[in-house]
This record gives sequence, C-alpha cells and structure tokens, in this order.
Amino acid sequence: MNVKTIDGPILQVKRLKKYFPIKRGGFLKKETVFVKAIDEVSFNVKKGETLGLVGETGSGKTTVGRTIIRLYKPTSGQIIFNGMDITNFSENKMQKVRKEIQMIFQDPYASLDPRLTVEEIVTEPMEIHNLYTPEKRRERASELLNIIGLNPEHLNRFPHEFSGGQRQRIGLARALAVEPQFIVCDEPVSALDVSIQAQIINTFEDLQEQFGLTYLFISHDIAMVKHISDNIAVMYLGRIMETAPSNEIYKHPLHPYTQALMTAVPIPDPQAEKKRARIVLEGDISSNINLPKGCRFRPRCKYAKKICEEIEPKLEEKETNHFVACHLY
Amino acid sequence: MTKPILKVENLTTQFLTYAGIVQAVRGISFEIYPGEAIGLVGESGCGKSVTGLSIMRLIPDPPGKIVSGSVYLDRKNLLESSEKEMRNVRGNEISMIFQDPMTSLNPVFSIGYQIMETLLLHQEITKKQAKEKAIELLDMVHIKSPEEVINRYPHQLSGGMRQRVMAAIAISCDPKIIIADEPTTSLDVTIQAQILNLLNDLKTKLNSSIVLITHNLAVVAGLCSRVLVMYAGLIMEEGTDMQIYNKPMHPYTWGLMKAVPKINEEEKERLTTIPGLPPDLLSPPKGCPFALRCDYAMQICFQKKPPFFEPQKGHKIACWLMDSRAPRTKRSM
Ligand SMILES: Nc1ncnc2c1ncn2[C@@H]1O[C@H](COP(=O)(O)OP(=O)(O)OP(=O)(O)O)[C@@H](O)[C@H]1O
Ligand SMILES: Nc1ncnc2c1ncn2[C@@H]1O[C@H](COP(=O)(O)OP(=O)(O)O)[C@@H](O)[C@H]1O
Ligand code: SF4
Ligand code: SF4
Ligand SMILES: [Mg+2]
Ligand SMILES: [Mg+2]
Repeated sequence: MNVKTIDGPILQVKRLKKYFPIKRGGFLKKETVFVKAIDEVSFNVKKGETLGLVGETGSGKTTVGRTIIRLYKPTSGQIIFNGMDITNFSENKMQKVRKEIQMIFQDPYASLDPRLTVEEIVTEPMEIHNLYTPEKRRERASELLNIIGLNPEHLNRFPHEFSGGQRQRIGLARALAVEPQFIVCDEPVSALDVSIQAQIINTFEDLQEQFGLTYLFISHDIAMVKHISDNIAVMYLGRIMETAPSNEIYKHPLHPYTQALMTAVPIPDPQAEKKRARIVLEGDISSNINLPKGCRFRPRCKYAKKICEEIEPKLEEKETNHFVACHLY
Repeated sequence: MTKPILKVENLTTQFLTYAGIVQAVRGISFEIYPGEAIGLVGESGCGKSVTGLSIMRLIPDPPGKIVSGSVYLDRKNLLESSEKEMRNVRGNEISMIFQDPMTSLNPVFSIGYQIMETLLLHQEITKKQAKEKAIELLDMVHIKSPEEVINRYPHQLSGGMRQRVMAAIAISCDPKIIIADEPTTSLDVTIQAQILNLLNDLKTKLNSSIVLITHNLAVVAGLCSRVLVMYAGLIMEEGTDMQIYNKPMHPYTWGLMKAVPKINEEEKERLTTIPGLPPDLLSPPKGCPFALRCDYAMQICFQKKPPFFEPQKGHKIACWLMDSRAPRTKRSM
C-alpha cells in the first residue's frame, strides 16, 4: 500500500471558471455566446494521492485538466499549486511550474510527434527545462524506458512502430522525465484494450508508490476510476456535484446524479446484475451555453423541489470528507 | 429443444491487403436460438465486427472475402444467396446496429425520411402510413416528442438519441435477429444503461434474438443468456452466462475477467495483467493463438490448435488443459 503523507493539499482549485466564447447566428446577426465548460469548480488534491474525475462527455473534465496546467487561461478563480497561486503566472514563471505538473493525453496516437525517435521524445522535456547534461539525459531516457516497462533498445525507434499500449508508456516516460510531482492523466487508457489497460494501470500505481506522485485521473470508466483513486469528484455540466473517498461515494452516493451514475456501471456478474436496482436516468445532459436555472441537474432529477428551480445548490461538506451540491441535504 | 434460427458453420473471412492476407475470422461455428440474446465478446481486432458483417454479407469485397463456411437462416444458406435475396434478408429478417451511428445515418436526410425509406422498401404501405409507423417506432425506442424528432437531422441529436434512431430503423420490419455491434461503446454509462434496457425490451416485446457485440464483459452480463469469447479470429469459450461468469474454464477468459476492476470490489486488489499482445492475424500461430501469453501453455499448445471440449452441456472450451492427458495442475481463476 501507499505511504500517504498527511501534509496539506498539493493542488487547490478554487471556484475555477473557464468560458469559451463562440460565434453563433446567421449572416446578418452574429452574436458571441459563451460555452461554460467549467463553471465554478473547487477541489483539493493531497500529495501522493489520486483524485479521480468522472462525468459524462462534455461535462468539462478535459477542460479542468488543461486549465490546471494553464494550456487554457482561466476565466476566473484560483489555482494554487504547492502553496503558490499560479492562476496569473506569466508564461515564464509557468515554465517552472510545468516541470512539476505534467499531462498525459487520451490519444496515444496523436500525442507523440511521429518525426521524433523515442529517445528524442523522452529527452525533449529535459532539454526544455534545462535539466542534466546531454549524456545524463540519454542515460536517463534508457532508465525511464526500463521503469515504464519498455526495452531500452527501443530508444531509436519511431512512434508508429509501437502499439497503443506501448505508445501510452512512451507518453508516460516523457511525463516522468522531468521528475514531476503531479500528473494530470486524461483518459490515459481509454483507447486501449482491456488486457493492456491493466498493464498500464499497474504501472501508474507502481510509479506512485515509488516516487510519491500525485495524480488527477480523468476517465469515464467509473470502475477503473474507483479502482485507482483515493477520492472521486463527480462533474456535471461544468460543476462538481459530489466528492468523497472512492468507496464511500460508491456505497453511499448522495447526489441523485451520482446515484444514477454508480448504478449504471455494469458489473461482470449476471447474478449481481439481475439483483441490482438500477436507477435509469432519462434524457440527456443540458446545454452548457444556456444553463438551466437553479440546479443544473434539475431537468433530469426526479427529486427536484421548488427551491431547485431557483437556487443553485452549493458544494458543502455534509459528512466528513463527503461534499455534495444538492438541496436534499 | 427448439431449433436454432441461425446456424453459422466454419465461417472463414479474410482480407487481402498489401501486407498479406489478414485472417480475420478463422472458421467459427455457433448457433442462435429464437428469442435469446447472446454476447460476442473479445478485444479489438479479434473479429467480432467481421463476424457480424459476414452474416449480413456486408464485407467489402475487395479487399474482403468470405472464403468458406455456411450461414443458415432456417433452410437458406445466406452465403449462397443472391444480392437480391440478401437485400430482402437485411432489415426484414436480420438487421444490424452499427458501432458508429454518425457514419451509418445519412447526414443530409431527416430522421423521419430515413426510417420511412426502410419501411417503404420492405413493406407495401402508403407514405402516410409509413410516417405514422416511424413515429410509433421512435416512441418505442423511448424518444420523447417523436412527431418533432422525425423532422430533425442526425447532427441535431445526441449520441444516445442517434443510437436509438438506429435501433428504430433496425426493428422497423420486425427482424428475427438484431446484431448490435458495440452499440454503447462511445456512450456514457447512463446512456449505455438506457440502450441496454431498450435492447432488453425489444427482446421481450418482439421476441427477436439479439447478438450483442462488445469488448466489455460487464455489459453482456445483464442482457445475454449465452456468451461467446473470441480471440484472434477464433472462439475460445462458449457457454451460458452462469457458466462463463461463474465457472470460466479458458485461460484467456480468466485473464479478461481479472484484468478489469469490478465496481463492487470491496478491497482494492491489484489488477492481473495478460502479458504481451494478441497475435498478428497476418500470420497467426499454428497452435493455440493464446499460447504465447498463457501461463499454462504446454508443448502441444504451440503445435496443434486445441479442439472444443464440452465438459458440461453447452459449455465449450478450446483449450488443451481440458484434455485428459494434460497434467492436473492448479487451474482456475
Ligand atoms: N476550445 C473550445 N472552444 C469551445 N468550446 C470548448 C472548447 N473546449 C471544450 N469546449 C466545450 O466545453 C465543454 C467541456 O469539454 P471537455 O472537453 O472538457 O469535456 P470532457 O468532460 O473532457 O468530455 P469527454 O468525456 O467527451 O472527453 C464541451 O461542451 C465542449 O464542447
Ligand atoms: N476492410 C478491412 N481491410 C483489411 N482488414 C480488415 C478490414 N476490416 C477488418 N479487418 C481486419 O480484420 C480483423 C478483425 O476486425 P474486426 O472484426 O473489425 O475486429 P473487432 O473484433 O474489433 O470488431 C482485424 O485484424 C482487422 O484489422
Ligand atoms: S438540488 Fe434539487 S434538482 Fe438538484 S439534484 Fe438536488 S434535488 Fe435534484
Ligand atoms: S490450449 Fe494451451 S496455450 Fe491455449 S489456452 Fe489452453 S493451456 Fe493455454
Ligand atoms: Mg475529455
Ligand atoms: Mg468492431
């Protein structure tokens, strides 16, 4: 098991917003509207832990990841990393932070430069951050390949010569090259076959134990998120609806959306499946341009009350470490 | 016992590519009974879609070719039927819901038009009747305000709605068999649950047989009463849901089951991995296709393809461990 440190959070996200302006309308009347991709998201991640971020497609998970590493400029709110408020850091200052926060992307095919060899891919971030001598970089590249379970003989090959799982490992080696403290993993295994997923997930866990890494693990595979995460945050339409320790949120989901989500995940056991009371959620996610008034889950919520039409519920701690945004509690 | 409605025998489908001959499906046999749902499970590239497309005779030729085998629908061998006969079979008797509904719906025609087109092709009805039936079908797949939705275009619908429209088209002529190829793979779990409920509904209401193709063993568990596990173009294990989930006997099935975390697991357990990769179908190994990744592999596994052993009625396992001459080592999940 992991030795978890008990110091404060390594990452604090406070009331973060990211709105994307888009142009809409015909020839005559063009108007700018805003896609509210993240609309007040707050959470903390403790050092050495994994926070899982789940939610339907379009709920804003990737946008959260990309805004944290400042690939997107936040619309408002705060991002505090290691006690530093990095929300408005200049590109220059951000460069230093990026050594500590790396990101792994969903698509193992698109995220590696096809013209570079594995060695160039893995040493590039060390060059960017001016780490080590060129010799030491090469040495480290072959060490890293060993760590993530590839053969150092692969250093001179190109990405197209590898399978999806192997490419995801190369992405992981690249992320580890600069010895980061924090890795944002955006659907890192979703494109892979199940037998390969398990290999990569175990590698993630080993690295966490070995280097005390902290992960933000984004995925729509809820069983996998529950497996790898200490805590889970459930996102809906750009906002976090509930966060709690993984087992707790599965066993005692409070938010009606989380309840539907948890019972919708199929179990590979026909007896358990037949016994299960499934809450089937009707309808689709609402538009994130014109958000419903009041609680944003209201159009799909069978418990909705009068107050839900008017006031947006706040994310509040209702039980120890268990936060929920819902008027039922 | 009832007679099977579809009988696939020794189906072999290949693709001629620049790299060589891809042996996508390598002589598989199975049966489908009326009103049952079976799951066809396996990792990507193992030949699931090619199996479905072969039954429908929709393999692109070239580069593909059904090299041998037979597919009997009642007394008729579909592999020997003319294209004209097949057009009648498709939709009317067997229909398919495809992996990606965006590419199988035509973007320039309205939803209503596309449903009515199928109806008018197969049934002798007026346009007005077709429109009424289209609305009825959309209602049956639980689409709200179907009168309004028939005027919309595919891009104006969400992924889950498009998948339902596909289902509506698939059931429009009361087919005996519905082949659903990864109907939920690109969807969120809440929408996935809606679609699985819908398939279950259709099975009960129309008494259609369903072939659910998926890489997700968990998705199959709630719907299907029989499961086929495929690997490298072959069926590795076949059995009832209870046989496959409670007492799987093939090492590949064990590997698949242990590789995925279960949401209801109490204690966190380390995932068990299957080392290595599936074999290249350009030159599949001569013996058991799983031998290079199998913890139990014996000498014979590399030399000869295992036959099916049937230790219990309906439970078939292609693995040499089942042979009485195999050493009695510890063998279970
Ligand atoms: N650059 C952009 N410009 C405009 N809208 C955007 C942009 N990036 C994301 N969005 C919108 O923001 C919302 C959230 O997108 P995001 O990619 O974060 O979702 P997600 O939760 O990662 O979904 P998925 O599970 O499909 O990956 C979506 O409505 C998306 O269309
Ligand atoms: N049109 C095609 N041309 C060449 N190879 C193909 C074609 N369609 C499928 N294949 C090959 O056939 C094998 C089985 O594919 P498929 O049935 O689509 O797998 P899956 O089990 O993921 O549905 C794969 O090796 C695939 O690459
Ligand atoms: S606040 Fe109201 S509408 Fe929103 S989830 Fe809770 S009960 Fe449902
Ligand atoms: S036949 Fe041999 S190699 Fe194949 S699964 Fe059985 S034991 Fe393993
Ligand atoms: Mg995303
Ligand atoms: Mg397929």
